[in-house]
Amino acid sequence: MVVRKPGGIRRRLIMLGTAGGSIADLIRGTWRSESGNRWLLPLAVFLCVFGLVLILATTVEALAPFIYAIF
Amino acid sequence: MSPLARVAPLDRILLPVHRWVWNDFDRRVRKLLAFAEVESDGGRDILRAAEVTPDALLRRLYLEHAIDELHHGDLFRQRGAALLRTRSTRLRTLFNGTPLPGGHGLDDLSIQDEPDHRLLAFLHVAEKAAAGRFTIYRDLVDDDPQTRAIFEEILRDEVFHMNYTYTQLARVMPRSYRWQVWRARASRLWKRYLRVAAGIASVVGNAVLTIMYFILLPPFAWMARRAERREPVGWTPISRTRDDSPTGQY
Amino acid sequence: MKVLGISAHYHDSAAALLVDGVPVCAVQEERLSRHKNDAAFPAAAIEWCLNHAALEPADLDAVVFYERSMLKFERILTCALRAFPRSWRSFPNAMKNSLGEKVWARGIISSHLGVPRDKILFTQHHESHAAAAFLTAPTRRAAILTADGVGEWATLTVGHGERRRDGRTDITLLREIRFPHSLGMLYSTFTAYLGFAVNEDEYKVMGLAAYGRPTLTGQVGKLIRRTPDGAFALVPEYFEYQTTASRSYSSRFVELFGPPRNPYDPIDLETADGRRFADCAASVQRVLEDTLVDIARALHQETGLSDLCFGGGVALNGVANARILAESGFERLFVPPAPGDAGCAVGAALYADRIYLGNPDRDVPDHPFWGPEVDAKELARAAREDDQDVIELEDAAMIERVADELAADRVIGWMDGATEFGPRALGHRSILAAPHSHEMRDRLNRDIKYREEFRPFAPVVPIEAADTYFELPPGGARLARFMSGVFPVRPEWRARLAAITHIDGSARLQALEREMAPRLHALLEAYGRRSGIPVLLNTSFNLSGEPIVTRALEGYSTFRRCGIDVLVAGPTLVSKRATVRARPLKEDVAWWSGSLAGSGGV
Repeated sequence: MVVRKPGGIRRRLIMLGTAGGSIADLIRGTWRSESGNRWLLPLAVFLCVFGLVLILATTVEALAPFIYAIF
Repeated sequence: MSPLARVAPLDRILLPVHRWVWNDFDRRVRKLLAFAEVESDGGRDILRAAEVTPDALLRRLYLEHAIDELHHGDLFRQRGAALLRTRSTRLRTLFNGTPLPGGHGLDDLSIQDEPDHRLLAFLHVAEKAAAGRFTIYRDLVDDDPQTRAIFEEILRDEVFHMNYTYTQLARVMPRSYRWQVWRARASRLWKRYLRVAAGIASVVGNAVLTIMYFILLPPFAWMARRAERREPVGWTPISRTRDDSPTGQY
Repeated sequence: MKVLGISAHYHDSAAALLVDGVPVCAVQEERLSRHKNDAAFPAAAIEWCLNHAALEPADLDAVVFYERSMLKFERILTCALRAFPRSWRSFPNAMKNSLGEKVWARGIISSHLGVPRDKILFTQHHESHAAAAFLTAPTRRAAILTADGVGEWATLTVGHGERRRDGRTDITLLREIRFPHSLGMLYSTFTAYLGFAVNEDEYKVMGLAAYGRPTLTGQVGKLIRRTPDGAFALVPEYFEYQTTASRSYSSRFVELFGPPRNPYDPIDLETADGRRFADCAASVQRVLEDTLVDIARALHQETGLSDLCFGGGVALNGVANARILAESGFERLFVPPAPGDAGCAVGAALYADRIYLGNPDRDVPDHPFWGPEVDAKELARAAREDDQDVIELEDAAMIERVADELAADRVIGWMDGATEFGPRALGHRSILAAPHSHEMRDRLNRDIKYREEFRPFAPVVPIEAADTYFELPPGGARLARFMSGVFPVRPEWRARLAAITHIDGSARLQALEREMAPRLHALLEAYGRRSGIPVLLNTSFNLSGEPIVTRALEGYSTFRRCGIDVLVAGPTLVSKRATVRARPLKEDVAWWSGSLAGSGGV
């Protein structure tokens, strides 16, 4: 068995840990893009940050409804 | 009614809901088609169990069980389709590009990773619950002899499934088979809570995102449509200078 | 250098492993998880690949994901914005779907494999398709065409590739057509309209098309208009896939073509509705072919190259492929065995290896057998435990025995060596039967495959005999190598090849070279000695709704559940014993349960 089978929580935490880099990719890519859609950045980044809440909610399934109570 | 297929107290409480579902034509068809998918998926999962178990007797039993479940799926599908053909219903619009209504039979279990005793206990508890519920459904479709006959046939098979899972559980875990059944019941309860929690979270999440949609998106939507009008139709040249960092996700 | 390619999250996820520039294994997740078109992160496929090569994740030099997930997210968000406020229903699900998991591809890979960030690379979706098509083909310079539903933004690209003498590799995609204008989505919309499953049953539309006449091309032409630069644009009013995930076509589409088919109704070609559906299929098929031929012809004129490599899900359309070969001016057309998204796992790994990492070019073995091997002993053990008839034979004796069985109209489940990578059964996980009669076709449809009557079966023929029975144009045999083209059966043979001849006289044949599958080739010859025709019906070894079998026990359980008469895995042959059946088993269990039933459990 060579592939790690991390538990759900650990897996989600690793995902959260790498999310910053992924969002940075999005910002960098959109900024440099020739399609001229820099205006999209604030919304896209905001939604990505909201996505972190979604990850958090699925990390602790049993508490998911309460995590949404943040809002 | 089989004495083995006792109706759970919760289902007795939910009887008005069940009646509401089965008394409406569209809901009945939808339910039958959903059952078709669940039974077929469950059948395929049990088939998987037959393919991975090291126990020859269990392999034969799982195979029979899987064949039954797949057959039940066909029965439900054929009945749902036959009802669908009898009159025009708004259900037709459901099938526009969506996958067929579905679910996953034993979604709670990863078949490859479960030892036989845990799978048997899970199947036993699940079959017992299904038998109780199908007994209710059978009684609620008195006006529809063909659908009732399907439930009758399935209930006969469910008795076999309940029996073999229990006897085999007793064979493979002679000391602790009762404990395994209780454990499966507790696990089922917990998973039911998780499903409810996930359902609530999904509803809340949808509500939050819908609010965001109407509050945050309008100015961006205006920008997006303006940008779209400027986009050429047809070929778009791919720039050789496009910044494609191999490690970038954009 | 060890490079792992991954495709995942939309449909048909897969993993592929390259060692020193050459693929050593590749497998779709569905073949291991047993969930058809499994789109989950391919953890089992990755694990199998690493185990197969005796590697740890830490040994990998790069892990390559087949598309840029943030760019895709940008497209999804932009489309939702463009469709505001009609997209309000689909927006929450689209966001949850993307942001809950898919956009975080790096995190997902990292969490499963524990590899550092700088080892995780990304290619664009159509670059992966292009590499899968070009770098696996036996050609050094070729034009490249890719077409599918959608990747990030691109739905169709054209370009060219070169494997230079000095070992460097170039793949240049020149231009693209962007979402929502998509030939793949056009075809999928008709797939949904005709009551089939999107992203799965497109080949049924192609099969149905042969029963119809393209009388509705005028109407289809209203959905797709050609642009002055030789591309095309879909007319958005007829579609809804760009605004919602739950509907493909709009009410205007229905006004144009009539009510859609209920997926639960069989297609009855004797009725007006059945004929209308067949005509719809024929018409969209014709428009797809015409558009692709025009684009390929222009690409040929532009590049002046003689070879074309074609990738993406649209390249699974064998009828269109045959027309491209015949009419575009290209002399050879290469379609890989897995042109769809699963093949992107190989493509992404090859692209990263040659282009990003600059490794020297290597020839890629020209076969589709990259998956797990069958274990004949496993089959023998299970079958003996179940009291089935099991015999073990030397290779030559086995071939003769199976040929005898086929000549006696028995249906064979055939497992041999490593499983195929891609959707086609190319002789290692096949159901084989005599190809001569309609009765055999009907029997397979009724008792084994449980599928629609209008769907054709494919033949397999030794490449040296292919031209005798089929009208292959120049380059046709190559296209038939991986069953990627549909060609006419010669009229004089149609009556004797009735089970594999489609209603329009065509067949999607596999022309088999001995080196690719020697045992099957020998079987074809042995069968030819008995019947006078070395052709067999070859259909994938699975039942409706299930993935093709991988392991011996999966073949065995399939064999037990359907009308296959004989099962073969390597040297093991199992014959079905009709009397070994369920009822005694059920009665036994009922008897056993007597002592426990009263004890409170059941």
